Amino acid sequence: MAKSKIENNVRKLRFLKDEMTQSELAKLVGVSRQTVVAIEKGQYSPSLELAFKLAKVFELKIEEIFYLEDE
Amino acid sequence: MSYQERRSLFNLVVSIIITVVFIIVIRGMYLNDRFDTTNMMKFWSLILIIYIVYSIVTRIVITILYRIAGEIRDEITGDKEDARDIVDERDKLIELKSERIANYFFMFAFIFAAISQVLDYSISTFFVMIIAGGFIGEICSYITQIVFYRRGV
Repeated sequence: MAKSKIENNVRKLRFLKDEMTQSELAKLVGVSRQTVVAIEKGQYSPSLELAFKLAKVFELKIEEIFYLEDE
Repeated sequence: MSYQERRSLFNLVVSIIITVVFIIVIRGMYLNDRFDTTNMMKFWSLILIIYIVYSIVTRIVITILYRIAGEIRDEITGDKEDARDIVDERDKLIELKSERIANYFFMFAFIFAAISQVLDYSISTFFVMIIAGGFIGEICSYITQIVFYRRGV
């Protein structure tokens, strides 16, 4: 089975959401700014709970934020 | 360097300092015949208990001082470090993974210590292996934390 990686559009969505800062997003979803940075860089795949929180902030479905990319 | 990386690096340095100071003090006391070494099992058990209590107490004191220093720094610069009060899921995951590495080290140290007794090595070898395994495991766990924070989980 091909290895896959979870990618995301958080950075783009943050920009489209009135140029929201990483700190603002971090506060809204209850994590540190470093965790938002790690998610945007693809260094960390968030839990389902955090993914739902992010989806709620951006008013989108989870699959519109996160997607699988084959390596 | 992020707050979490600094915290792990700080813990790493503190851990090394605490252990080195402990070894120097205990070695000095041992050379001055401050311990009863007729029963080596009792001697090493005492050393182990002292080390555990000493490392817990000093760590708590140093952590409190570190927090106070951080708050003072925030007051002076007027820039509150948001990560200080937040321990999120990523932090917990990194902590779990790094602790697992420390546990592996300790487990292997314990196995080798037990083997040393089967091979008739001294009781000192047994305790030195256990203490060294715990210490090396702790150091590795902090290094792993820094690597995870830098490279990602």
